[in-house]
Amino acid sequence: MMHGAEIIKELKAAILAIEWEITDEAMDNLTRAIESLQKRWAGKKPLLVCLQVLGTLGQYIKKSRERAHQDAINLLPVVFATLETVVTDDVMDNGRKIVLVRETVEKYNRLKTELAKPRKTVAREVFHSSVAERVREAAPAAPGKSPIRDILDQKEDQAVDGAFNAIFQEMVGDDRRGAPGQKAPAPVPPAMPSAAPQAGPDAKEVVLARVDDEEFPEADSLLDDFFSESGLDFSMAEVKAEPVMRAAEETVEVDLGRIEVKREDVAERGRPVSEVEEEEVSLVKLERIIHAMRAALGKSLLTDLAEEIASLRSQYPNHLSVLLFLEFIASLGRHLDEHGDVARDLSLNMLETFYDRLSHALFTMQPQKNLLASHLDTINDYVTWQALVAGELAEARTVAAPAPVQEMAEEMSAGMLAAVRGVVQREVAELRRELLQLIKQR
Amino acid sequence: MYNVSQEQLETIDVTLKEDLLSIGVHCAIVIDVAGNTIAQLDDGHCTFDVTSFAALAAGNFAAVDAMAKLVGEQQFSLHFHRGENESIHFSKVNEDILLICIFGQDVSLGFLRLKTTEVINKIKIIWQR
Amino acid sequence: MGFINVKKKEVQIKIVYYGPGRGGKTTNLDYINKKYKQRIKTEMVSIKTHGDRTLFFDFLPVDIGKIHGFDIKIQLYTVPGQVKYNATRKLVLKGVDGIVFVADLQRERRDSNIKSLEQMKENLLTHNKDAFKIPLVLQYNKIDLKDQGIPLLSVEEMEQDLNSELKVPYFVGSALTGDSVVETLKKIISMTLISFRKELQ
Repeated sequence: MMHGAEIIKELKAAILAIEWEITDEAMDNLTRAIESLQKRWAGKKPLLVCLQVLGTLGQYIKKSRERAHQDAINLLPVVFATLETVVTDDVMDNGRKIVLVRETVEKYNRLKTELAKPRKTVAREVFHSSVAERVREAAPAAPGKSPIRDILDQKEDQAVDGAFNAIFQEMVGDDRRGAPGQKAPAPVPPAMPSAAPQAGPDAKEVVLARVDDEEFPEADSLLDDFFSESGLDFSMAEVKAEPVMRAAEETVEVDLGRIEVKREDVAERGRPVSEVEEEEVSLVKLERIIHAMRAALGKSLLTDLAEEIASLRSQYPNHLSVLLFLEFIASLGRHLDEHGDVARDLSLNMLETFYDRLSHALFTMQPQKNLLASHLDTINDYVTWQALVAGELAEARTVAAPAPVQEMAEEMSAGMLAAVRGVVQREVAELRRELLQLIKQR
Repeated sequence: MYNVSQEQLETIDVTLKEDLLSIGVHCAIVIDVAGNTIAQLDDGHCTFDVTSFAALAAGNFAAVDAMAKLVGEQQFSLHFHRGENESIHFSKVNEDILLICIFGQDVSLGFLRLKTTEVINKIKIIWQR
Repeated sequence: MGFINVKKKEVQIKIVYYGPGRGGKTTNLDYINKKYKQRIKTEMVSIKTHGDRTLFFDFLPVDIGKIHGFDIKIQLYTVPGQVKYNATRKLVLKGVDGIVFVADLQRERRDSNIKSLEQMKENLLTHNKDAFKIPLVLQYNKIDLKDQGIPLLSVEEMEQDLNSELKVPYFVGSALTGDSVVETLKKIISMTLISFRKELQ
């Protein structure tokens, strides 16, 4: 198997190249590197999330160029560093890695929020009031009103930020872009007034000419004052006394091979590394239990599972999505506990799938729509699974004693349906709210 | 000998502030090739002697330029020195003027290069007026 | 290329000390730096070799005060004198406003003086400047060696060698003892300012 560092080598090179110079080629290399990794890591959610963020940032930077938000460019290596740690660090446990990914995704989400805000244009106005003057002269603006240029520029900024969102939505395959009036205009490069071929009247370059027969009394008196002997704490002897070493203490000597920098405050400017928030990872234990079940299914593990689910439920009393998945996982656990021999592998696979979806729901950057799809898939999977298990159980029962098929069906309808209903309601409400917001913005 | 109007200098200042200091550049200096400081803006933490810096920078740029000619290059477009805390980026605005940026680790060189390209275009236009 | 900053109301003037190696250019600046360090307030920058020879240039900025409301900032440079550094000398001459040519009075340095001055004229031409037009002052340095019995050139010989065509002001002095150092500097600044005068009014 290829080592992690080897796998992400190409991506790393692409990221480093972008840090050095942002060109279309560099950005395309990034896209290529991401695409190849996306195939390799199919199904590995935390890795794919990182790739997705990198891809979105990359396309945004490529599109916006120098108008890009500084934080987007700075985030690129940060996301990569997270990915690199997740892929190459053999010591760090998975829980810690998931926290890392979540923190990174959180940074990305903050950036998105930041980009949604209109950028301030205070300084810009001053600049354009003078530089864009000629533009306005050429195309007369409304007198006494704020310059058209400024408004245009503001629009350009919004266009860039809008482009970011548009790319993001494209990436995640969101179809909300159908909202009225919403489109992502390509960012217009800052329109600069065209260059004048000749120097203007203010700029002059004159070759100095020697003037032999003129006096400049002001200059002479200034020179006399400056170079006057009075008030100087100085004697000739001093200069003569130290012919070689003189001035050494006062000068900044940039000697070949030894460069003395006198400033000590440079070090102070080093920014402190931002503290990593210590957050408890509640899924670690669940993950461990589920993995252990795959290796050896035992009574104690199933007890652990039930306990852990109970504990998670109490930790996330309001997280409907988590509750829903936990409900299904719990149900699978109970089945394995009672009829561990029936559809064992299928159940274990289902358990892992549900766990993956749960962990994804916790740190997802997907829009609600995709989360909803995940929930619906889960419900569908569960129903299919249940039918299959019920069939097998019924088969077994005809051979042996009557079994609690009815019981299971009831179990599904009671706690689960409530959770499903809650999730669906909340998500529909959320989608509606987002849609309304979008319509209002346009 | 040349002469720059107050308006030109102010416009350059605004450009430096808006495009360079805004992204975290600690100090942006526009000098001429003789080492004169034309404009200088910093984030308030730069305590070094800008005059001497400009003289050395002009000398350095001229030296590198001369080296380029020796190896048959018109010029080296990228002059960049990376330090532990501070890095310096030099770029040529036109035959007379250079733009120097001093920046920390929080600014990506790639982005700075995009930004300086933009600033250079602006300064060129300001200069020609 | 002097530089007038209208916004800051300041004028920046570049004066270069030029001349043959070990002629006393850096010593001129050292003397000024030492003597006026309380008034100069800034630091002198030297780029030198381990052998204490100027490698690139010495640099000493001096703010002498105001004329017509303009701050006059003088920037003093030296060129490296050693023959092999001509490329560097050319670079330092870029944008020069006034030159002090520091010649060595020692008889054995006669050729070096003449060659250095000729090369300076050529170097100036590469910057489209003319030694006959740019503010220029000659300094015949090391007169202090006379007492030590070292054979020196006479002032007439110096004038014949270096100044017969240029006809610029000259000073006989000693950078080591400071003799004529200040006079030379005052003269070159004054000449440069005269040629700037129109811009200041």
